[in-house]
Amino acid sequence: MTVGVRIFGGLQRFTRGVAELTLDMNPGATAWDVVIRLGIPDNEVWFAAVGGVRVPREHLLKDHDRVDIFAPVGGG
Amino acid sequence: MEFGFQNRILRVNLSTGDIAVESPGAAFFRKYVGGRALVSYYLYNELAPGVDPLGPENKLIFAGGVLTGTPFIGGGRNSVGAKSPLTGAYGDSESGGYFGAELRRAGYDALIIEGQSSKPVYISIIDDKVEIKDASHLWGKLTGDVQKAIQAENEQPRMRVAQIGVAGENLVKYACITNDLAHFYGRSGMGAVMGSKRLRAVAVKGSRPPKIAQPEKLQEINKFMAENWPVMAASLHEHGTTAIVMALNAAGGLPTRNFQEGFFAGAENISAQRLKETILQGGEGCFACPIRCKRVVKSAGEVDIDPIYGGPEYETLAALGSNCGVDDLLMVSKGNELCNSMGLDTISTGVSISFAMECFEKGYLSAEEIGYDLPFGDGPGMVRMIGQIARREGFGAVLAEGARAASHKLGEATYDLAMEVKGQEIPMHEPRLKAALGVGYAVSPTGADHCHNLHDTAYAQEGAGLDSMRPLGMTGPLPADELSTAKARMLVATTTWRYFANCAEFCQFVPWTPTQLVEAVGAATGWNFSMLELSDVARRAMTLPRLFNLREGLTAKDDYLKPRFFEKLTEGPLAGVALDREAFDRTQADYYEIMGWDKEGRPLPGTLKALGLEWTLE
Ligand code: SF4
Repeated sequence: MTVGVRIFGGLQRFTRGVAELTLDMNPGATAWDVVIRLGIPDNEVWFAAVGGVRVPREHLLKDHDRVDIFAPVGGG
Repeated sequence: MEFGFQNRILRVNLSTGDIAVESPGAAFFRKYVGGRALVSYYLYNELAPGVDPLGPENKLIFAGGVLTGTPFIGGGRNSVGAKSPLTGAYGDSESGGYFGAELRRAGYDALIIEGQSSKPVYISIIDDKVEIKDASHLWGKLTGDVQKAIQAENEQPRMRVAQIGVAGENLVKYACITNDLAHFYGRSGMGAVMGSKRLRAVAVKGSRPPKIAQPEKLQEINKFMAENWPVMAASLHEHGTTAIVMALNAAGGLPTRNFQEGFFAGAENISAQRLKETILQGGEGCFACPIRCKRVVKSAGEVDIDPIYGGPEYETLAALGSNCGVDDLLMVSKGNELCNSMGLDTISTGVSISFAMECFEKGYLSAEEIGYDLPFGDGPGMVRMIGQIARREGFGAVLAEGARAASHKLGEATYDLAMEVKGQEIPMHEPRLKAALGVGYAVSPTGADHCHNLHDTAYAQEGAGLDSMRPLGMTGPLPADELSTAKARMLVATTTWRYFANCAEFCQFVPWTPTQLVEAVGAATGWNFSMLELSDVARRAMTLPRLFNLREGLTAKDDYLKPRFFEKLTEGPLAGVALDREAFDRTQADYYEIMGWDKEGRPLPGTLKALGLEWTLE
C-alpha cells in the first residue's frame, strides 16, 4: 500500500530536507513504522498523525493514508 | 563598573519635564541584571499601593538586560513594565526587535517614565541629548506614518521607535507598545499606560554600546550558535512560530472557538504551509540574530495588507483564527495588520472577540447590542470589530475593557466564558494538552502568560532540551498531561529559566542552554557568575511581582483557572479529556511550597532572606 507522508518541525534534517513524500508500506504497517523507515530517532518525534489527528504508535495504516510526523513543540 | 552595564538609568518626568540620570552601581546590577528583575525592583519600591494604573503616579519602565545590545545571539530582547490597567496587578511584557538594543547602545540600561504630560509628546534620545518633543501632529495616526515622521524630523533615518497606536491613545486596556513597527510588547496593557501619559513614542539613536569584559569568550560562545542554529532552529527559520499550528491541532490542543474545543477542522487553511504558499513575502528578524523567524506578509487586491507591519505569529493565527472559528488566512492576516498598525495585543483582542462570539451564539448578546451578527467563523465581522475596539466605537468600547470587564457588564451567566486569569486573556496554549501550563497560567503575576511558563509537551521525552535543564533541577521527562509534585518542580525549573531570559534579556527561541548563559553573562561582565546566581536573579524577578500583587490586595484566590478547562473536550484527539481539579489544586499547592511561599501564596521570610530580599520585610 502507499501512504503520503509529511514531515514537520525540523525533522526534515533526518530526511535530507524532504518535507513530503510517498512511501510503499507492507500491509500491517503501523504509524511508527513510517518513523522507523525514515530513520528519524525515536526521541526526536512527538507523535504521528493520520488524517491530521494524533494516533498511537501502533495505529494500523490503510492504503492512501496521510501520515504527518511532528517534533515536540514548546511555546509559540 | 566597566563591563556589561552602562550603569545609567534615565528618568524622564512628563509632568515636570525633569530629565535625570542615576547610577545604581555594580552591586545592584549583579543582583538584578536588568529586564524584569530591574522593573519589578523599581515598581515595588516606587509605586504606592493602589495607584491608578492610568494616572500620573504609575511609572512606565523600559529595561534592557545585561545582554541587550551586545553581540550575543538573541540579545535584542528587552522589557517594559508598569502597573497593569488590564489586571490591576504587576504588568510586564517583553519584545525583540531593535529598539531595546538601541536604548542600551545610547548609554542607558533603563528608562523610567514618570508623571503625565498635558499634551501629546514623544521622547527623543540621541546619546546624551534627551528631549521631550511635541507630538500633537502624530496623535491619531497609524504607527507606520508616525515612525516615518519621527525619523524625518530628527533627520535620523535609522532612529528606532517604540510607540503606541490609536488603541493606546484611546486607553484600550490591552493596547500594546510596538517597536520597529513589527515587534510588540504585547501583553499587560502597557500601551494604555503609555497613552495615559500622552506619550506617543520614544525614539532613540545610540553610538556607545555596552563594553564587554571578555569579547573573545563571548564570540566563542556565539560561534557555537552561529554554527548550529541552521539545524537546531531550522523550522523556526523556515516557518517562524506559525509552524506549530498543525502539530497542536493534530494533538487536539489548538484553541478553537473560545477554548470550547482543541481541534479546528480549518487548521490547514491557517497553517504555516498555507501561509508560505499564499501571502508570505519572507522573514525578518531582530538585533543580533541570524534566525530571522518573523513573518512578513503582503496582499493587494481583494484585501490589502501592508508588509511594513510584519505578519502573523502562531499566537495571532490561533487567537484571530481557530479561536474565533475563522479559517480565512486573508482575514486573519488583515486582522493582524490592523492590530499592529493601531497597537492592539492580538491575543487579548482575539480572546475578547471570541468571548463576544460565544455570548452571541449562546444568546447573552444580541445583534442589536453588537450592531451586527457576530457568530464564530465570521472573518469580516472579526476584522470590523478590531477597528471598533481600537477606536472604542459602539460595542468595541465594551470589548476594549477586556473580556473580564465585558463579562461583568453582560452578567453573571457570561463570567465563565471570559477566558482570562487576573483579567489577562489566555494565550493560545491549551491546559488540557499541557497540564502544568494551566497551573502556570494561574500563578503568573501578570495573569495568563505562555512565555514565563512550562510547555509540558517540550519535556515529555528525553532529549537535548531536557538535558540542558538538569542544572536547574529538572530530573527527567514527564507526560504532558501529568499533574504531580514532580511536575510542579518542572514548572518551577522552567519558569526560573524563562524569567532569567527576561532579566538578562535574550530570546527564548534561540536554543541556548542555562550553562551557556552562565558563561555568556560571565563573559559580558567579567564576573564569576554561577548557576545559583542565575537562579537567584530569576527567583527575585518571580518574587517581587508576587509581593507587589499581595500589596495590591490580590490573594491566592486570584490564582485560578476557568471552569472550562475542568470540563471534557468533545472533539478531536483529546475528546473526553479534562483537567482533574484535585490534582490541579495539589500541584498549585506544591508550586507554592517549592517557591517557598505559604498556603496563601505569600513568600515566607526565609525565602526572602535567601534571595537577599529581606529589605521587603521592613
Ligand atoms: S529567534 Fe526570532 S524572535 Fe528570537 S531574536 Fe531571532 S528573529 Fe527575533
